[in-house]
Amino acid sequence: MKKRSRLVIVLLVILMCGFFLYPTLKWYGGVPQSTKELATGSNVQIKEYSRGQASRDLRALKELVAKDSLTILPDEYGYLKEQAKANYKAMKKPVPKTWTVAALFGGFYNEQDLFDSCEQYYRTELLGLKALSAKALQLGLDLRGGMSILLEADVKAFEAKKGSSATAAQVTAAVKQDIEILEKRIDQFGVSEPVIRLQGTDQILIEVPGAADPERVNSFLRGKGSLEFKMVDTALTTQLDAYYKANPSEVYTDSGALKQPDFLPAGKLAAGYYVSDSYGIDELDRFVVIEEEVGLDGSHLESATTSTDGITGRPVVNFQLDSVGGDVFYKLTSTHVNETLAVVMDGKVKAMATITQGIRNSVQISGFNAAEANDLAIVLRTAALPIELTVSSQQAVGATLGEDAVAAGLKAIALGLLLVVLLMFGYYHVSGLVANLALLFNVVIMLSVLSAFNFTLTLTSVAGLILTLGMAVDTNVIIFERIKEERRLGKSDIASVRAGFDKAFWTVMDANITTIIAALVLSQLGSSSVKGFANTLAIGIVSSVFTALFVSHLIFDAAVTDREGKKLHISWRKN
Amino acid sequence: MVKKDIPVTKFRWYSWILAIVLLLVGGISLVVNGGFNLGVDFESGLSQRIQVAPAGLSVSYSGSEDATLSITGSSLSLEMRGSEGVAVTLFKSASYPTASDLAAALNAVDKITATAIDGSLLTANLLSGYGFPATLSQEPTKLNFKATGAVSIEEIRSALNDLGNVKVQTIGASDSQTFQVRLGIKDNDTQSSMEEAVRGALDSYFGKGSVVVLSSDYIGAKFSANLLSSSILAIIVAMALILVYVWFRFKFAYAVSSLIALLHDVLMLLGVIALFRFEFSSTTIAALLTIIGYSLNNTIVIFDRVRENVSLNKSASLAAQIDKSVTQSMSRTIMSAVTTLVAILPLAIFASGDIRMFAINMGFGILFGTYSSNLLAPTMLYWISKAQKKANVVQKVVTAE
Repeated sequence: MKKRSRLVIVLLVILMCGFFLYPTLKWYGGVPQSTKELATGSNVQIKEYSRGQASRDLRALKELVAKDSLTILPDEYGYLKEQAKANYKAMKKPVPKTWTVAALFGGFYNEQDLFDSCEQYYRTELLGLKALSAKALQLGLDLRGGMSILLEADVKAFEAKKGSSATAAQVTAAVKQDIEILEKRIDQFGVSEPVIRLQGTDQILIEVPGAADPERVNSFLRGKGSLEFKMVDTALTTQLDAYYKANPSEVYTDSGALKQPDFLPAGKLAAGYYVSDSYGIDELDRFVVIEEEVGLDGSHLESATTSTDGITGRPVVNFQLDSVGGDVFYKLTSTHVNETLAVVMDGKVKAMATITQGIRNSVQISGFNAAEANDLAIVLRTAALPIELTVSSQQAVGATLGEDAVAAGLKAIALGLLLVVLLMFGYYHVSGLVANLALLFNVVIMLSVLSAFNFTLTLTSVAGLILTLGMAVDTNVIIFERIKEERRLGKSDIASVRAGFDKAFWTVMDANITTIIAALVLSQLGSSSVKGFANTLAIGIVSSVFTALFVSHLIFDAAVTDREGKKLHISWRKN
Repeated sequence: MVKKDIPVTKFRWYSWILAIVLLLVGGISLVVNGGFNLGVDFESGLSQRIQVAPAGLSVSYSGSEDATLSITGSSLSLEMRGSEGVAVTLFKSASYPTASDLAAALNAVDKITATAIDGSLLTANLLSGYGFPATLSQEPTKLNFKATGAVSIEEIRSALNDLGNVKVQTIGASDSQTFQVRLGIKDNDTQSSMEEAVRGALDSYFGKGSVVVLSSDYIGAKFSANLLSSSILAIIVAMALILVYVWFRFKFAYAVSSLIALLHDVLMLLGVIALFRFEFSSTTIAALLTIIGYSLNNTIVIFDRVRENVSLNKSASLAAQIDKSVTQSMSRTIMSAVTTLVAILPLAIFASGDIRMFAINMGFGILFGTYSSNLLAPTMLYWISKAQKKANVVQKVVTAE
């Protein structure tokens, strides 16, 4: 391969490393700790925070206007200017020169619009940071503390419920539904950055970093989503809608919860009608007033599916109730014909439908698009896990235990690295420095590949990293020793370097390919902690071969051709 | 400069006898010690790391925000997460040296009540365990302090005596007051029932809240069985694939010799683990596999040289070629072993837990791997090649007749 193409490839790799490492460097280097904590909160926490902040800003702005509408807009609300400018332009009005509070209010259509802009500002910032943190290299549970739980599907109970034996594919399908449900549930418990994934065919691995509060995690696993059917009060709903529209700052309390207005009589509740939103979680669409009394409890629900209506071709959701539930539901629906029924999950209205006639066991709801129907079916199913889960293993590491291990481990790695660097220089002279450069480059490549593939850095992957450093040096050692031998035969520097790299090529390849076979087998068959080790090792082998054959080779070629007549230093001895 | 080749093939019997004797020592110690010291990954049950430390402070919170307490180093940090964002207050032990100072400082925070149980305890000894960072509520959260007292391992044993199948080990120096407790699963035991049983037994013996759980691992019976079988499967599959590759790239004799050398490395490392009662965990599996990769790497480098030398000079005897190849590769072998050892040594000394065990296993593995690559694999290659040649000659004679 020509020197130039080799140089181009090396430069390309450096660029790619920079690209993949950037989020990691930015996250650990440029984000203040308090913001980090906010951004790593759950989406629900971010939402509550954004809404709370928006309510606070809106109230403060209203107070300023009431006091003196010509006050210059304080800097902390400067973020609103952009949107106000755009609105002025859209309204075809002149953009004000000095931003007073009144001028700012003029830039928004109504209070709700202003509130939305405030919320969007806080939301965009935090969600952006959250996305950044997802791209950054994260520490594994063993390094920063946390809890990992392996759950196993209770196949016997599943078969008993089903009444026949279940195939592995059926079990896996049910476990996948469980995962879907757990994912929806876990966010509501305010657990940050949880990992939930299928392991094997019938196991679920859950990893919760940080707060290793077993109580909280257990309550999440046990807690069945509360699903209820309740009647809607249409007249009060219209009144409530008008009230909230007129007073957007009165909708939420500071903690982001819904405020119950005073005019609602006892036994009636204001609730939000939610659809999936830009946080990826439930967003309030509008408000409805529902009866406090439960029409039907979701525990009577047996199954829920989506299908298409044979006549109209529109998507519908079908669900089956057990016999007790069927009786209750029939009584409810037959006395409330032409009224609206709401499906309420954890206090949020997820769907509404008008009752056309009395219904018993088999219920069909229509009136939404395919995606909405699918969502509702999931909501209905979320009430119970399709297949029960038992805890197969649970491991918790206190964060401090992790911290000590990290500190000691990092110190040891740094020391090991330093010793290797010194040893290489001591033995191979300037050429040792080339190997050291290749070694450092190797570390950078490995870290960037780890972050590119979203691997977490665990204790065992750190071990893999160290081993790879030893092997990266080894590849250079094989080549150097070969170059030395060639020179002992009386060859010139250029000829020795060429022969050294050529002859060592297959040695290096054979040696590394056999090791990568072991690494790949492990990454497929090993347990999760061994997998982390194997992945790092596999990445490290590829990158160490690359750095030796490209980076070291390039430097050697440059050294022997550009410094004609000077001696290549590959040892302190004169030979 | 002509160096004399190392007579590897001449000393083949000594190398193999030494290897076999050492393997026997490993095998005997395995039998004497009654099997491996299986880690929690491989043995179903509950494994907890506990530390005896008195509770010195109790903290409760009556507000509506999310308040969490965490302990880093010797300072306590209070995090309030609410609609106004996250506020973190740090209480350094330098500013609040005793538990009563800390209680006073915490009481100054809105809606937080802190009571010193033993006000004289030093905050520099604050201890963070399982359940930290702790979410504060009306229910008081207790803060524990590292003790200077001397609770012996016997006291822990007698405290847990009623639970039946319990194993207790000391961790670190005895004055760190840290112990590993292992409890086997009995019928109908669940994780929480076992955790409660341990907690209850310790509370009643040492007084409520004076033992901190640092970490708690629970392994179900099926999980441990799966882990062991999948690990063994991984090793077998890896070795089989490597055999195929070496066979394809070299010759059958090379493949078999390198595999026998690998088997030696694995068995030797297992022998050391049995001899020194090292814990056998999933990290050990990782070390075993790394050693397979490392030793193979060494063997391949030497075999590569043998193949090259044989093709360069077909008239020399195989024994001379092998000696020459091992000698030519020697400086690389030494350099590579030393650099890897040097990278791993600090981990074996300064790191803790699994990673330290990994480094120690690796260190032994590198020694065994270097031994087998230089002395065992080449001599095995010599024997097999000789046997093959003999068989070939016999076959030729047979066909000639």
